[in-house]
Amino acid sequence: MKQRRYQYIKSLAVIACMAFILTIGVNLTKGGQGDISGIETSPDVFTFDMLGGGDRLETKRFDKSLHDLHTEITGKECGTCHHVKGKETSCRKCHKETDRKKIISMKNASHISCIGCHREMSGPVNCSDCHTRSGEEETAKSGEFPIPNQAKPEIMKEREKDLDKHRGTPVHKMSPVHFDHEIHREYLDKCDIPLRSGSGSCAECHTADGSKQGQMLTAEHAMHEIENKKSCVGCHEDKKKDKECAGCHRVMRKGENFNAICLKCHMEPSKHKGGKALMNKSEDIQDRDIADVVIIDKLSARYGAVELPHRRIIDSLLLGINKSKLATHFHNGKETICLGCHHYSPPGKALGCDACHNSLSDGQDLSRPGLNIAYHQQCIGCHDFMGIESPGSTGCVDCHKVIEGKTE
Amino acid sequence: MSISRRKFLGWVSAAGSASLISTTAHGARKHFKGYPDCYGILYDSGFCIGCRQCEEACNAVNKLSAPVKPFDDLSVLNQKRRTTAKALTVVNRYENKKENKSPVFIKLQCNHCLEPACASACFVKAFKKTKEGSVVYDPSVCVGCRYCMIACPFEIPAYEYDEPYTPRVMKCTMCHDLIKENKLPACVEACPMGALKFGKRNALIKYARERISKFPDRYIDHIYGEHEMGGTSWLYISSLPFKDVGMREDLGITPAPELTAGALGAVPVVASLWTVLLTGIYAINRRKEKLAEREKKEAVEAAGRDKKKVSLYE
Repeated sequence: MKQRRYQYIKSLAVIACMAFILTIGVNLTKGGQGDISGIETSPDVFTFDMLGGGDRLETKRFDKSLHDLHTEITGKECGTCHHVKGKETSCRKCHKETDRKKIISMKNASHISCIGCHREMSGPVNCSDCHTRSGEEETAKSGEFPIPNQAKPEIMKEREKDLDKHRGTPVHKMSPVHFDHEIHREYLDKCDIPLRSGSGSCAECHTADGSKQGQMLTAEHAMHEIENKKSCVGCHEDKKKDKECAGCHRVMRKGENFNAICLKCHMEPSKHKGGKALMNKSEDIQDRDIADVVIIDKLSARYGAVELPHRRIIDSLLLGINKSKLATHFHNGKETICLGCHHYSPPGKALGCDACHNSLSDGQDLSRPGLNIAYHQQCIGCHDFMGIESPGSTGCVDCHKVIEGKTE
Repeated sequence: MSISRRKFLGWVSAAGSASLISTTAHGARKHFKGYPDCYGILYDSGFCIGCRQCEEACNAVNKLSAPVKPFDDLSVLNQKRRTTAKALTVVNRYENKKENKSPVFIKLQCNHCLEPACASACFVKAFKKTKEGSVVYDPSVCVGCRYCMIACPFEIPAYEYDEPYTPRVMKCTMCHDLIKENKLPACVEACPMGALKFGKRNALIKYARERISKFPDRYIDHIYGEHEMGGTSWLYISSLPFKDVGMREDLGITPAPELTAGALGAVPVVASLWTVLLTGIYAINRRKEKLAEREKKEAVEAAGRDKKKVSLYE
């Protein structure tokens, strides 16, 4: 009996030793991996407001979301703007307030670079797109953000108090989000938010650093969790499955362009326009030649040409967008609608399908189908997602003209 | 000669251990992962609209007889069909009842296994897995035993029963001749939706994974054919579980030849070693008998001599 107990204790001791060694080993390997932080680092906020003419004009903040937007548009080609290769840094490091021997002033540099590129890429070029008159913003700031539900004014106060506590921490370098209760009221059930009685706002439990009541879920995560329908981003993402939205959005990866639209929520109250109609008709897209009907006859060996009712499609998509306040708020500009079909086109330039898709499906590039397939995938895919039953997916002659003399 | 019980058991155990050595050697063989750089076809059911143009193209390129109902008659989709000697590929429709969405289509044809069961069952080597990835059939050596039809886990090969003189086993060839000419297989070329993608099998698996991770709510996380029956050159991704669209999920990941290799590997051992062994045992026994006989003879002779001596003294 004694012997057995001895053996038992011995085996326990051996196991304990092994566990100890193992944990040390694991910790060592963990420590050895080192910190793999993002290779591309960009500061949170850039400001161009040190301009000489600062007394007259103030410059818009070139913040992280704008930087991300530019990174995306240039295809992560940092050199497009940061022209000194290998020493990508702030413009202001070299470009000072006045012109020097070889280095032009910040004002000239930004005007030449920004506007020059914007002209080429159809970006914003008006003064007011980047600048505001001095003093204008201050008055706008003082204007109070309309809280539709006046019965709960303490919500905003709470938020501000929370903000004061954490001002300056990385979480709050973004402008606070002004959440419109009234608009969202009808969706709260659908989003399955467990509204506890007595709880004032999300931020009461989901604080910047996380609290016990909020299950240590920080405010940032609680609002941005894309897989969770209870979060802002998750619920908005889920709305994209609606029939009106699915035509364009179902072919996009979840959270695509997410980094480019930070300011759509994190905005100054004065900028909040509250879901105005994007435009009423396709005619409002000015300076663009929008064809009424596009004839697709590039590959008409077997079937005749297809008459694509181009303008009708745009108008019906616009109708869907204008019905929804969410859609009108988040669609970035008038040209956004074009990008649904003319994906990967540069802003303001709607390229035809044959610009990228070859007439032969050569199978070299798996993710870029041939022209014939591209047409079919785009038209049939969108009709399928939007629940448009006619023309049907297998009704070839619904779209194609029948060539005389051919049996089909 | 008489065989004692002990002797018989001795032989049996000797023979048993000999055959065991050979089977263990086969069991430890390396897993074959297909020819490097072999081609494959990915069928993305998310794109398929069930237009049957692949069936039409297959019919034309293989010079098969025209079907009773034309290819643009989609009423044939109301029934579940199998591949036949006159239709080497068929598309079936499955309703998406759960989410009340548009139906899911599945195209059936030979899956071109990396280690084909048909080829391992064929004793005249009529089937061959080519380095391009397709499994091809040589009718000139086929004896018509149809073991391949029994062996195929996907129930694909069909037989020309109405061909009295030269019946062939019929199945998809992945258009092997076209592939060698650097052309696309007929069905891939015909698909208007890009539901069929031709390429290197490894690249296709990578692309399929990308599709699944890009649209997690549109595909189930499974590439059918990546591991099934040891892997196939034809791959599938679908929005419904494969068991709901008429595909077997119970096949396991062991290639069919591996299941029979042990038993079939023993055949040469039994055929060659056993005869040598038994002949050896027989020879040893014969020698023993001979020796015993000689000894007996000598003993008798000796006894005879002794008797003579005794009689001499008397």
